[in-house]
Amino acid sequence: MSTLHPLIPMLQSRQDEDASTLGQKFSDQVQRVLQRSMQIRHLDAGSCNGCDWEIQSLLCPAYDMQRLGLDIVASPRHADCLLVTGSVTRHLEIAAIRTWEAMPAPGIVIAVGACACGGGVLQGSYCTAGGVKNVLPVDISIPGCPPRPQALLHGLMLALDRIEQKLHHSNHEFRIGRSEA
Amino acid sequence: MTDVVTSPAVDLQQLSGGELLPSRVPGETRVVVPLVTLPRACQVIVDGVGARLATMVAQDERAETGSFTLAYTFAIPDRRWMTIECQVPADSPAFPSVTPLVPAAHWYEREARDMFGLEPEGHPDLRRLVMHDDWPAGVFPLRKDFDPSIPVPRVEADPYRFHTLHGDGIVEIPVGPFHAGVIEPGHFRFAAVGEVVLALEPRLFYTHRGIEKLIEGKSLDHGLQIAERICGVCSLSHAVTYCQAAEQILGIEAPPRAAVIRSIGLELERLYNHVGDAGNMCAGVGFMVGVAHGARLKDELQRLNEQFTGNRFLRGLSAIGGVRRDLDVEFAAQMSLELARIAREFGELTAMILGSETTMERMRRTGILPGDLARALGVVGVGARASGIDLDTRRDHPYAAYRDGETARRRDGKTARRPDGQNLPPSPAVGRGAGGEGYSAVGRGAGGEGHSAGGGEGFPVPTREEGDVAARLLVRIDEVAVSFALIQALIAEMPAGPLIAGWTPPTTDAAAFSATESPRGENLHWLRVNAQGTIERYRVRSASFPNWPAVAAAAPGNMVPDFPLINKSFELCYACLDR
Amino acid sequence: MRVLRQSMRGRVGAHDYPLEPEAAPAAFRGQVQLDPNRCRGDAACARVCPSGAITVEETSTGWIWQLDDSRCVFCGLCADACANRAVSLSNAFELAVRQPDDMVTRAEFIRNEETD
Repeated sequence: MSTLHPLIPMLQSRQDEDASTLGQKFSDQVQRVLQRSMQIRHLDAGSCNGCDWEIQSLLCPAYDMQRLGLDIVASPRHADCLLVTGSVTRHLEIAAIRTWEAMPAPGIVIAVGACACGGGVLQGSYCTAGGVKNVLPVDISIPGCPPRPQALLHGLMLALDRIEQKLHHSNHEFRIGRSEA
Repeated sequence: MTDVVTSPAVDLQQLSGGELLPSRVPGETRVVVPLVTLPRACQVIVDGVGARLATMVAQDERAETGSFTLAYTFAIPDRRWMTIECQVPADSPAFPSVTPLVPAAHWYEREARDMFGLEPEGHPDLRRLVMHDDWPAGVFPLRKDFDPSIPVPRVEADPYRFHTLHGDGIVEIPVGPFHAGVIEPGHFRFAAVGEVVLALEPRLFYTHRGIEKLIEGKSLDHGLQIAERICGVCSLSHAVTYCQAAEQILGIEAPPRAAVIRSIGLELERLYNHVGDAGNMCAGVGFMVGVAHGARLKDELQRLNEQFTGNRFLRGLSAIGGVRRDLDVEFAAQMSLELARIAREFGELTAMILGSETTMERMRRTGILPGDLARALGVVGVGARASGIDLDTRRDHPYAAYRDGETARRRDGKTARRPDGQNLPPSPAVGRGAGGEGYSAVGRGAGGEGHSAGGGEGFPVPTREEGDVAARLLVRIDEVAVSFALIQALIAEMPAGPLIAGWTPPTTDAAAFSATESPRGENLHWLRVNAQGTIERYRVRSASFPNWPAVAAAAPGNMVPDFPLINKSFELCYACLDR
Repeated sequence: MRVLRQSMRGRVGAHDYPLEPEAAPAAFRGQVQLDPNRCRGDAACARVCPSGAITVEETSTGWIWQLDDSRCVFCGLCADACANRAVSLSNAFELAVRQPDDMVTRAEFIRNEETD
């Protein structure tokens, strides 16, 4: 018989908060932290189109992300958050970096799907970067092939926590700067 | 029919000293010709029997035979394929281009040039296609001596030269690669005078992932997981095509129950795509109620997919030798009820779209793809059928449960009903396009006379003559009706039996190809395994590959703001194309 | 139209998630689960994994089974390959994380010589 090493915790669910708790906090955070709706820019960095369909699905009446104060915008200049799908192909790498640079700080990056999170089945291809993390600083990863729309909503909730952290962080630095001056 | 088909093979032998080779799949005639006669031989096939260039496969066989090989495969109606092969010497990797005689070969030959370094002599356009400018010259990823583990540096190079038009008032509009919506990346260069498009040149292959190289050396099972992820929204079609090619090599066949489950899955895939597309086409004209309604129905179909296969895109259903999931009676009954409801609601949606005169007005006479042009470019799928070309792989090269008799028997006595309540032609033998009865809601005589389907044993293949956006919408609507009826018929008569046939990895070098009708048209996979049982060469020709040039051809003469609508009406996939 | 009428009557078409929890269908292929009591460390799952998400590393005392969700494509080949039915796919889908390390599940096994 095999036994589990006593020092290693049992395999357990890694979610520290369940969806309903997060959901209740959600609209509050949009209001309090961003004081406006969160604007999302989608960036296809070489996906199979599956993740992109699911992101598109979030706008359909069944999920209606706009009711949560979330929306897809047309330009990275309008965006708070970048939803990146695909493992970042060679031909899109530079464009992806430029898109991220065009976003106002604190822009956050969400890697959507297996390819974006860690390269998926495309391990070792000559034409992909093997995941968004090798090109851009990733704040949230949403695994799935592709993640179902509910999983995307869950990831966006986590993203809002992240925005809170980042804003507070920069505010904090700003205060220190002033007190020193 | 047989005489017409076989005669060019004989002619070819006389014409060029060609030599017949053993065929790789049933119905294939395979001829090897000397390099100099290649273009003429291809032209004979195309002009002689109206064949359509289905794929072109280049191979690096320098290690075995000391040369590269090229194989042009043509689809001939009545379940025939014709392959013309030739050898390109390794020391002078060049071949006479087929493109001047057969325009459909245009992109295939440019791709072979990028990936293998084979120079098509006399090709009218020798710019890079797949690999972009910063890819170094002289590095050819699909050659066997290319090592994908060594990173390839970016090099400084002249930027891509778009075709330019000069003249008073002509402006160039570059768009992309990233677009404003949730859409895949591609660059479009318009030349326009005011609002009118004079020319459109797409630059694609941004999402090129090197899948054909990546899959080399992988086992067949591993390869399936990659093949299934070529495209999100044609996942199952790609997976089934790959599995069928592998089964051909292994000499096995999916059991009847598996074939039916595959067909049900393939029709579910067509449904969620076509239903979603009907809605998305409304986005092109700003008819938001239609968009929302279509997206909602699409989501319900995808939820059904998820309950059926565990994945909203039907991934993981097909396996080599059969299927991995059964469709039990209880769920089949539930699915049948759900689909009947969704069919009814889709009927409400189509009535709404067709009844909106402003919507239809935008769609009619917009983005016309003339039939002869579509034929010349080898266009497949909805784009072809809306331009009067009567082709459907399910009928022309039947597979899974669309095979002889099976489908016809199942459909016997059943009548497909269009969402607006009119009957489709009742007998499959009639094989007429469904356009004939006309849509009163369209407010015109609906010119689609419908074509007599070649084989006669298939099922209705709706065609239209107009070639405009409205025709592509109407063809989709008719196909949805056929798919709903087909699924119900298949569910009603599920054969019992095993789900999967056993197999062992191949031990000899063998190749085969297979085609399926995805929602976007014919997907064709060409697969070769070596004696070690791993994949030696894999060539994917998705439906989007021959159809993209058609989008560019349909745009001129239209307004720039109508381009998104035209693009959506073809609903092509970038990921399928770029691989 | 019916949806419009429904919504005018006060019914909303949208699903309640994320304001209410929603379970994925039973057939859904979600996160890979390991039953530690059944795992024998034969690494069949790791060999068939198309994306290298599962690894099994032999150690001097046993083996380490590791799953990286960031690579997993949820194909289910591991569950099919495991002769001991130790690996299965749950229907957990809420897998988004902040730290890449959180996507890694690691289990160290110590071989018990007496019963093996």
